[in-house]
Amino acid sequence: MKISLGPIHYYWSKENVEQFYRSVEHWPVDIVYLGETVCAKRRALRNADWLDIAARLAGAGKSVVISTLALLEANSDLLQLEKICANAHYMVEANDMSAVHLLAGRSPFVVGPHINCYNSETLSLLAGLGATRWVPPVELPATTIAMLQNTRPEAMETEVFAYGHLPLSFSARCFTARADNVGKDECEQRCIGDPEGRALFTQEHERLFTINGIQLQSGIPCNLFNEMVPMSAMGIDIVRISPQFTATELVVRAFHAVLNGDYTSPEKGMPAVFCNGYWYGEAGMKCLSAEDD
Amino acid sequence: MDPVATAIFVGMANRVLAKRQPDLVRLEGRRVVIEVSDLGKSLYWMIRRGRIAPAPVGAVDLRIAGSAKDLCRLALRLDDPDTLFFARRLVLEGETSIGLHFKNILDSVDLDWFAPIRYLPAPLGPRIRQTIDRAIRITQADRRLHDILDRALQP
Amino acid sequence: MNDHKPELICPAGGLPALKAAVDNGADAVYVGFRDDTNARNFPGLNFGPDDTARGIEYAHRAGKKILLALNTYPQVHNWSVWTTAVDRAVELGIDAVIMADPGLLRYAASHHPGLRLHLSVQASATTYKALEFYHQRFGIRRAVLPRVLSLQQLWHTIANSPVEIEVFGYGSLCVMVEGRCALSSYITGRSPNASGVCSPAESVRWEETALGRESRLNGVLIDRHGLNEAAGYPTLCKGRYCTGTQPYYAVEEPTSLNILDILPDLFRHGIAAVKVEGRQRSPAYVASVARVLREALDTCASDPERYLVRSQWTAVLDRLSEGQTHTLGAYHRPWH
Repeated sequence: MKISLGPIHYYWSKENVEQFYRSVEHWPVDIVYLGETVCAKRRALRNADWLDIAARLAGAGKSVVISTLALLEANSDLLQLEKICANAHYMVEANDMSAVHLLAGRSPFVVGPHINCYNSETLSLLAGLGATRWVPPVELPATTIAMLQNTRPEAMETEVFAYGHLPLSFSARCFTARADNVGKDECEQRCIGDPEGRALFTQEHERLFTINGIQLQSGIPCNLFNEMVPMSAMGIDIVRISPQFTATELVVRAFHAVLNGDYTSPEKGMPAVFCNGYWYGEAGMKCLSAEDD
Repeated sequence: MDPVATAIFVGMANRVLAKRQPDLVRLEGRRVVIEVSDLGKSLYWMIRRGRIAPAPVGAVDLRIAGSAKDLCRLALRLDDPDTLFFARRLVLEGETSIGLHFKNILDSVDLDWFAPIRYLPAPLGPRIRQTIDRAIRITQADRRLHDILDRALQP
Repeated sequence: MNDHKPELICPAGGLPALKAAVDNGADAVYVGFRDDTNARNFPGLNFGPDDTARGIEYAHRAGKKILLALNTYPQVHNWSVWTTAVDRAVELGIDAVIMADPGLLRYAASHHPGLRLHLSVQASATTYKALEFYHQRFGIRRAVLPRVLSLQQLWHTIANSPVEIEVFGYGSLCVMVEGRCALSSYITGRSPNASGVCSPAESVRWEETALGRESRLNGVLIDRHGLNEAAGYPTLCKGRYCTGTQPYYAVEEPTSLNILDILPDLFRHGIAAVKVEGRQRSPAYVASVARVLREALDTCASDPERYLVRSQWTAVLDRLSEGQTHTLGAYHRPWH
């Protein structure tokens, strides 16, 4: 199995993004997804900046994919999408059917986790349009993914969201701005102050979700570290690690060690509290293990 | 516990739900109490062999509470339960799914006052039915009856 | 741009609601089968084969249409349930099916070329490019848009869309992009996409406590309502949570969408249909909402320039609403 680094879900400053990817050049990851997938108002990096980062990573031997916005609203969002889809150098991860439409029949593409692909017929349809890799929606259980593996089209790679705060929903409304009691039009990209999102608790102080602009994520990270053996047996090709502001390198190295048969310090870098319920076909927030069955 | 009110409720409910036995079977054995809060009366009932039956006072799976007027409005389809629930005029405690299931069964009952006419031989039955339907539509009798009841049971 | 009258599309979770919709002015009624092929898969709700046939007969006799929602995402193990449902829809004479899954749309388009296809809101199509995709590949004739676009964005989408556009006009407000929300499954294991249900009833518990009415979903406290505070559905997006010390509606207040204020604009920009949410609601709700919206649409059609929202319409609708109040949602810029 290969390791990929998903797109950064949060809004980081240009310097932070560039610094992050400069270190990624030395990490044991095979594929790196770049670009803004959450909010079109986050413009710290322009297309040229992303392409510079892409070139450096490609030079370091990484396979680079440009990810597209999940929720498109304004016409300017579409124009930006058209530019990305027309780029001649890098593969594109489509996170909306608008992107699939623009890429279909033109160049091979990745079906991102925000495309609702729940069955073989849809997967084969997307393969026919040029998809060569797909990331199942985060709520799909292992049993369903396994069934899809049995019927997946030839040359279709499967990439599982294996680590990170799960992207659960998108809205027109900005929840970060709302938390600070300002309108979205006056947000001033304040989410840049929350490089790992903002924690949302129930009235009983339970960590429920993570606010990330117009997106809600799981309160605790999903972690399929302990599922790598069954994943490998199922023929999963790639595990995706979703970047956090801190400690992402430790997670990457832990996954890499286990993939290379090194079980000496498997817990190093892993969070104490995590969830994996979706993998077992249960509530996503649950934390289960194979022995629970 | 009010045996008379319970008996009336059980009798009426079974008449209305006569054709819904297969649906009710899925709620077999579940116990419910309806509390008429302003009258201080409680109706305990359960589903037994696909029918509504009186149940002894005791533990229940679902508790429904509301005023006599509001519960009448629900029974006469002048309000839907969600509306009363949002307005805090209806209380639902315990296994919510039983309440929802039962509500949906009640809502699916087609209260057809002219059902007997359907069994008259063709073309007599359909023709009488059409005439009555047309008369109701012209006079808007059904809507008027609805409005009269609605006014009488204003909260 | 033409001043035509949009169709009024009303929900029905059972035959009595369907009749109420037809009798009170719906041009079309949308229904679902009694299984997980639709996004209101609630116990005891929806239409069995007999009810569907009777409903279609009732609507067609009145010159109205029946639309069937098959708007969830089939999976490998239950794929045939959905295709069988499509076949049944054709046999029964359903006027159009509302679908979201690309694979299923392809099945319907290739096996039943005469069947009218509507794109469900669950397909999350928010741009005309996405609509072009579904139109070119499957020949969809109409699309229901998620409740996320501003009015300017909506007009732009309509102007460039290859298909008719239907929007939500009244009902409980989904603040997330429909079809892209897994909040429910994260807490309960069941979601609209995969199971046709949001906040499933079996996971909901209400408890009247000294602190007020507590709403819990799979044990997680969603909200506490004081004695006379209006409440809403126990969905995760309408609970009160904390980022600091004070709980607040972090996502959305319990409220319903109501577009009566912008009806003349919708007419002017050529909206094909206005949809009412609420297949889970009772016949009383369907009758009241249909009656108000019928009157509003007719009033607007007869003289859009002089159209004014009547306070009585708003009163009737607010009473039926979550939280007893309404919003224009994303159509109103400050809402964002």
